[in-house]
Amino acid sequence: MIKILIVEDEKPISDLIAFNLSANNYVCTQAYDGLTAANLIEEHTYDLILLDIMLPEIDGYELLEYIKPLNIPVIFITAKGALEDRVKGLTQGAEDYIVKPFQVVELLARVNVVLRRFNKTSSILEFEDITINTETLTASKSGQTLDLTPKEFELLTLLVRNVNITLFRENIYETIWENDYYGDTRTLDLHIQRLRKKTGLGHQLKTVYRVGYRLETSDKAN
Amino acid sequence: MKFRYKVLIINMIVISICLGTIGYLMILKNFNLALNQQIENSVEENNLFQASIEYELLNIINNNSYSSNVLMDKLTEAGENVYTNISSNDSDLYVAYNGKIIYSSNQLICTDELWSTVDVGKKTYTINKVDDSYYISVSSCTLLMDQRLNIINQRNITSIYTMMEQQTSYYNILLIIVIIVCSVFMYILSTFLTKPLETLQKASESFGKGDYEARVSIKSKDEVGQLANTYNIMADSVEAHMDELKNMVTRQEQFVADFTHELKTPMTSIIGYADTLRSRDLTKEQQVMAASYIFSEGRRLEAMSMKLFEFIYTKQHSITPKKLNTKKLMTEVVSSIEPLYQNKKVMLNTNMCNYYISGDLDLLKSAFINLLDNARKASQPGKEVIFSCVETPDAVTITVKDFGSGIPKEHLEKICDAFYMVDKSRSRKEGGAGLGLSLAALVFDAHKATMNIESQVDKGTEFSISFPLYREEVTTDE
Repeated sequence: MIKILIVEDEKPISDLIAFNLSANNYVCTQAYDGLTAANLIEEHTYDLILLDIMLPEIDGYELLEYIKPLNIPVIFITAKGALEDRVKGLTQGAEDYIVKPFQVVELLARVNVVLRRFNKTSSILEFEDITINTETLTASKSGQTLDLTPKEFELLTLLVRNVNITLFRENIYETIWENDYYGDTRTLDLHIQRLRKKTGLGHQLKTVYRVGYRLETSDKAN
Repeated sequence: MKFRYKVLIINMIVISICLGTIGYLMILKNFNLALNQQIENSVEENNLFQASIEYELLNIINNNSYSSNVLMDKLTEAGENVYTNISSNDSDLYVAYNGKIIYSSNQLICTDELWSTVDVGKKTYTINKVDDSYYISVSSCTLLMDQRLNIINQRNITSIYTMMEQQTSYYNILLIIVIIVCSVFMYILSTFLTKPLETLQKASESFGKGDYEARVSIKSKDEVGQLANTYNIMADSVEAHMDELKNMVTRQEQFVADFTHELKTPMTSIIGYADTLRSRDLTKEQQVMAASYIFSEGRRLEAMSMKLFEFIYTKQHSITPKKLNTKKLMTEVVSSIEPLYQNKKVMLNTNMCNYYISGDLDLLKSAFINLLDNARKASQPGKEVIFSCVETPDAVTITVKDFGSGIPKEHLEKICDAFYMVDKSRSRKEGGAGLGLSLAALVFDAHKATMNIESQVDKGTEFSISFPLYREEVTTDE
């Protein structure tokens, strides 16, 4: 169980983050000001802290100084998008930086990257009978290795990490191909088709009409 | 070239010319006086020689029958007698008769012209230079036996020439020494005099480079002192302007930063919940929760944009003050805010007065509505809010007093800043954007009114706004 502390004074945003992280099986604790957060950190251990910079009582930078010796990774979440603010946050020891407003997929991806960097998540991802090893970059189905191209492997990993979440074409395209999305998704469609064939997930890897794709657990798919 | 060098050089030129002219004239005058003295002496001596020789001749002529041959010898004899008896060491005597020198005590230097050109009965003199020596020769002429008899005396006057030369060279040395001493003195003096100018120049240079705190302390009362004073006044006003500009920029930057933060917060919720709704399969309750967050944050955004519009409008438009009755203002404010008070069951007690201030009715109305709305938000149901008015000798004070939660001391000085909220979550629940009070403060400031805030936690807050009284002859409004 990965425990995440969310320090954010805006309740709607705090709830939003907590809701989305909980849906991906993280255990979330919410603190609405710096002082409460400091107390929580003292009493409990967390795997990751999401930290707003502008906080009542103690601000994010001060709190970061307090967290640093505990070796808990911190991701800043803030409306301050200016370059110097980002640089300040990162040089002070934050692991990553999310600028408001953000999309849910981005939040999950960044949380995931930081957790992996700190070896908090195992490199083995499992989806029903499919096993993905993100270290050796191999995937297998019921023990049999799947023959996937690098892009197909990345696509499968992305889908498995975001089970039951509709992934928008542009998001997938930007994440995997690291290109801007210009409306041409034939490459993506082709990769999805081949992935369906190779993994036998044709039924569960759903096309959401005009939007994108979603990998559903078999109980939902039926 | 530096000013002090200019002063120095000009002074040196003037001093040299003056001293040189004076010295030259003095030496010349001195020489002339000495020369005249010598001439006079020589003439006197010549007179003496002439008288003596004539006396000797008279004796000879009276005693003997004489011939011209004897006369010549006698003349020579007389000359010799006179010279040995009378002459001083430094002068020589010559006697010439009929154009021929018949006696000479020394070698004659002067030319023939001297005795050939002199008129009979007159005296003349010449000055001759021989081998660096100067000689003055005086010649007189008388007729003896129809022939010209010249008595010539000659003196060496080199001493007055050498004296002049000595004086000149001495004076030259003196002049150089005086000029050097003067130069040093003038340099020190001009440095001392131009020192304040240099200080001023350095100060204005560093001022020009951006050090707006550069000032000079020159105490003198002369033009430089006045200039320094003027410079300081100028620097003060420039610095004040710069500070004001910097302050304005900082405030504006702060405003923009606060504004983006305030804008991004509801945007994050709206975008995030909408993204969640479109990406995930949610239960009915979860959908309602997400939708209500989108709705409330959208409303918050709307309220903020309205307030912001009002804020920018007030900031950009100067007020057109009109004569305004306080009773009319308070009545209109109360009628606008009363429904909100009834909704929350907070009592609004008013104590109106009938004075005149000068101001913009609409702006003041919105400012007081903001204050009363804040008071309502701070009050628990059943509490009361007092909206009253008193007159002091030169002001009208309108007070909004509540008995609600109060404002902690550390927040008091910041509450008029845009987007500042003492209790964010409560303020958000009430639909506040953190702009109401800063808006009101802006309006009161434009009316030259002073706002005084007194607050105690859990006891309540009192806002007193003092307006200057309307100053014209009081006639009824409308």
